[in-house]
Amino acid sequence: MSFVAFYLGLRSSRKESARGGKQIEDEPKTLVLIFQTGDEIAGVLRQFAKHQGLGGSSFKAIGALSYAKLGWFNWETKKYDPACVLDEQVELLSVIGDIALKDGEPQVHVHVAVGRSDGIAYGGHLLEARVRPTCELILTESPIHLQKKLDPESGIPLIQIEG
Amino acid sequence: MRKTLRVLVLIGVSSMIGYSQETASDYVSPSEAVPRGKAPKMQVQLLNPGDPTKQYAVIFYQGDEAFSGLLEFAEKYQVTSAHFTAIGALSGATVGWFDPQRKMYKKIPIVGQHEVIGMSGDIALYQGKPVVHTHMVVGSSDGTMRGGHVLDAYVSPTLEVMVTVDPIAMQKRFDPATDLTLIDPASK
Repeated sequence: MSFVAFYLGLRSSRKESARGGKQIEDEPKTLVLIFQTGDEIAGVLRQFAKHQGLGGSSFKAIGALSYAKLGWFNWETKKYDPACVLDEQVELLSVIGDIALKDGEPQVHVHVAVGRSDGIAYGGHLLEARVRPTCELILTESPIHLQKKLDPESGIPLIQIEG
Repeated sequence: MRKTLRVLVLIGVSSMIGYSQETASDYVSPSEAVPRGKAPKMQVQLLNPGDPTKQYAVIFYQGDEAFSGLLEFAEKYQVTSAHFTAIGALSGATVGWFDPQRKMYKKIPIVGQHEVIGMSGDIALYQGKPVVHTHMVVGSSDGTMRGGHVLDAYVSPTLEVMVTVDPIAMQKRFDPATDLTLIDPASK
């Protein structure tokens, strides 16, 4: 893992909780994650979210990839079919994603659009993406976490807002 | 054997010609200087002088129509200035392509299950009421994409919209040249 993360800390404020020790962010904080050649975005984000305890985040990114595998949600099988595999240099045109908790574990949900050398774009649910040479991701982490629960109709965990 | 060789040589020569046709002007250096003074009509408005912004997760579920839903969100929460991004999936949608001659949106039907690869938009005020403006790109089962100005979007199974609401209102005004309402940073 060779990515770099740092806070754009101007808006963040921290205080000690009454129970002591644990920091509480009472305002949204902004983080920048810079990926480097060879990083796999989905895996790194999962690890980073777990390590940092992110649970109410949204992010976007741009960059470029040497490999992308994109999925399409198949309503019949309730699974992600591989929509396309691009084993070539592509521009990462758009990355939009969010992070919510399921049973306390961060779940990262990412959709991407990539552009080939002729300018034609492909997109889907991110299954795998290898960075080359960079990916610049800006993430906003909210003080209130989002919770996912298994949705029986679609068979996948969806964000549920508590009444 | 000789004939095969000649064909191979020909392929080699033609592919070399193909390569040499890409002249230096087809490429640009990453450090190419950006010119200035080419956007004389650009306007800027401060949306947040340091006050906290509000962030909402607006989540839609199976069967919801998201475009009208976003307008209802804006009305209910008295949003006067916001921007958002979203991902999710749809069972169908209608997007528009603005025809400058007709000053109307040409309807483009999106039929069947699609991923919402990216939806982005903003909320501003026109005559005191919130207006939602959003565009999206959707992906089909082979990864190809289409997109446009969102007219309606039927969610399946979910659409996750992350909204940032700023403290200072953005105003729109009617633009007679296009018949559209455009954001006007100059108007109060």
